[in-house]
Amino acid sequence: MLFSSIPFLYYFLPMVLGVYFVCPRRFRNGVLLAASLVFYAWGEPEFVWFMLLSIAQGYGFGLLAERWKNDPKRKNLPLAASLCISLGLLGWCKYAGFFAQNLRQLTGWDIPVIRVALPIGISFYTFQIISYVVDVWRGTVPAQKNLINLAAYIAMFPQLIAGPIVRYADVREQLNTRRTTGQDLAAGLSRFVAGLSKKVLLANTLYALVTQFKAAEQRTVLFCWLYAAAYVLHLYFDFSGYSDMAIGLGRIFGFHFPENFQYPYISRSVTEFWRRWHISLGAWFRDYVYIPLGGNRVSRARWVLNLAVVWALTGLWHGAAWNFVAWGLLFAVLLLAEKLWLGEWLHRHPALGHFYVLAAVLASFVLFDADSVAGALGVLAGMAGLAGLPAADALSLYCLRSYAVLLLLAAVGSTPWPQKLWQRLAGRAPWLCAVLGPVGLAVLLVLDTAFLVDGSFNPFLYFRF
Amino acid sequence: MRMKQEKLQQGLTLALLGLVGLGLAAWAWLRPADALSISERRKLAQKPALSVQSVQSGQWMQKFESYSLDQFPLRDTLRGLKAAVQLGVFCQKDNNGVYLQNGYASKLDYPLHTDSVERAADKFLQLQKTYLEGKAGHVYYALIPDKNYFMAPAGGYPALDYEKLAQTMRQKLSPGMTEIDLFSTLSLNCYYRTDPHWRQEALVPTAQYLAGQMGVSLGDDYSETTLQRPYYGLYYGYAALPMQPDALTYLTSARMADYTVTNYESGRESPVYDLDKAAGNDLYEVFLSGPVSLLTIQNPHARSHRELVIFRDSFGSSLAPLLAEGYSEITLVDIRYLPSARVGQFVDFTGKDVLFLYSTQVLNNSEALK
Repeated sequence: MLFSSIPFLYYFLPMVLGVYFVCPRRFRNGVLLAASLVFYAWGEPEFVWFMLLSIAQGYGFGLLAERWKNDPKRKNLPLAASLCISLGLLGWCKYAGFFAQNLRQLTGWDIPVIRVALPIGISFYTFQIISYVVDVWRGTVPAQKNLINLAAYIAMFPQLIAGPIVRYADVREQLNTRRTTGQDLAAGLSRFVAGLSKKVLLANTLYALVTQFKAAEQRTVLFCWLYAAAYVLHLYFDFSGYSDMAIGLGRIFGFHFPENFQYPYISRSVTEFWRRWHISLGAWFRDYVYIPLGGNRVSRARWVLNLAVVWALTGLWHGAAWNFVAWGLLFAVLLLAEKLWLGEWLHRHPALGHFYVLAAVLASFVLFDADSVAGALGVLAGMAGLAGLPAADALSLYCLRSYAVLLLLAAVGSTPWPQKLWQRLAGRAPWLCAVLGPVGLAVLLVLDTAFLVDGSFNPFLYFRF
Repeated sequence: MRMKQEKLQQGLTLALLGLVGLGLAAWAWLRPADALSISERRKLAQKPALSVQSVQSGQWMQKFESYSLDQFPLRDTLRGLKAAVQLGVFCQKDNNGVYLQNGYASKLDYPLHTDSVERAADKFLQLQKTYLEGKAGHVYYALIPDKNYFMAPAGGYPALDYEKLAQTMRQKLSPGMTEIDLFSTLSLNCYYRTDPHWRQEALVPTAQYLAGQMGVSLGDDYSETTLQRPYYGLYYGYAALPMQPDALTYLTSARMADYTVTNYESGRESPVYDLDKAAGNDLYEVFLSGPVSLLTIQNPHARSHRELVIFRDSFGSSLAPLLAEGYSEITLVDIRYLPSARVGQFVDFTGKDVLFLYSTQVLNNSEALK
């Protein structure tokens, strides 16, 4: 089920909120778990068992990891077993076909190309389970004794299918002691509606331009640029909108999830960009892959290798295709260049830094969205005027006229300026803003509903991860 | 002071979002389901029956999503609001592919699919070769421009290259078929504002010109009858904008009362203007009962004994009654519903003139021609 859907907004959510707040506190994790299972089963009922199996192994091996933490012989066994199962399931579902196909091409062996259906959200909940078991193994958190509590944490529908990747340590206490105040409820609802609007009004509408580009028989230089700009903005509003909805929903249920986006497009370096984009994923790879590999406290060659491994894995996490690996490695190269040579220069030239980041992000997301590396290079060559495409045609000029305002609104909306403007206004006319804010949110909710009722385009890209 | 502001803001947030969210939710749950959407001219999804199997397969959830969208309260108003925001706030030029220009709505159709046009022309040639050569009288073709021809250039909307389309047809069909150029006889005023079709009451000069090019003369003494019910054309539902509906008017004459229309799908005679259809979703179906694969119009008072076969799309339904005055029999064949290979089983072309009468929209999207 999508947050940005009529069944969720007007059937599922009101029912869940009603039952949740009527129930005594001790049953609320159970209600949350049951609601999460229904939420998950809505899209793919057959994969509920798959997720429950993953949760069960995380629970069992978490308990064993704690029990055997002082036993040098057996200490690593639960961790190894849990990692094997978690990564094995993820690998089988997500990467088996990819690796089989590549092995087949590389060796010429007659390997059957396996096609496995990908359970929704498996990449997210697998990473949460891994982080939980590793943290218990490290001794940084105690194992959760209550299966329902752990299952409620892993399967919690606000963050189940698209993050942010919430660590168990972040919500451990809240699982038992949370309360929802009126402030939480108002703040959560506000954040949810803001995220919903980013997704429905901006991301979905921008994606219509992306779709038009992909369906066009004739490409032009202008169309390639329009596509790249629309896709980059779409991706930001799509994903950050979903994160806002998740954080808002979490707050409604009394949880405080970590932030996942902090205006990434205002960054002045790629290093800064990755501190602002999908923050929970970057932190996960840092804490569970990069640092265990030795981080930067190793020889330079090993450090370069560590970076390459982490970013190749980050790319692969996004999808089982070479363009995702290339996308990840592109960032590895840029980050390496910044750490070795460019960082200081970018710091001294912030305006050029912005330009450089935007160019890098545009190019990288074209690669991200492409069917293949060759397809991405074709679009990038088109943008650079190197593909022999005409400058513009009737359709691309029409799209420019039709989407110019939206692109401009979205570009401004991806910066902190609207937020700053609002804060300034709130400082000068606080009473007015105290009224305008809620009225604006109510209007946005009606508009979101209107866009959804019209059956506008409403996919969610991160479903496939 | 600040505490009070925050309290007010929180209270208002909860009250307004609760009112909108829970209010619409309660309305959606409790309101009885509608069967039809008049503006969208379609049946609306109904609440699916719950069963273990339908839940396991995921079908129930899919159907429920359709149901929740179709039956949402204030659906038409919300769709209109969305269109208004898209056009008025985002300054987009179309909504769901439909744009407005001087009170007329049209759907973008771009670019020209030359392969589709050639496919249609090849289909006509194949029909000519199979059924007409050595049997039929004269063979004509005429193209009907869609509304974009008149609307798109002025508004900066992308439109087909109509000259290239006509040239493509000409290269394929000439000299075996004679082209009749209808473009110059039509203007935007000849079309409904909310629908892609042309208005019969504005077609008399076009019908006279067309018939004249085929050597037949037509009169112009018709009476106009307008249906009481407003006509919400196809684009009215697509656009979801506050447009005024059209009025559907049809032309009658004393001679027309004696026409016999035979519908070969039902095997029955039917009226030229099927007023039962005036109660249905699509009022345009009043003309010759709408989409019918094969029918004939016989005119006992025809000025000649000439007969005409028209291969046509839906535009032909409103034009054929006017042409019927000049022919003792007109046969209307719609190869979107009757496969070309089977036409010979039902139609005898001997001595009859033949007209291929198609809109540019159908030619540019000719997959439906069988």
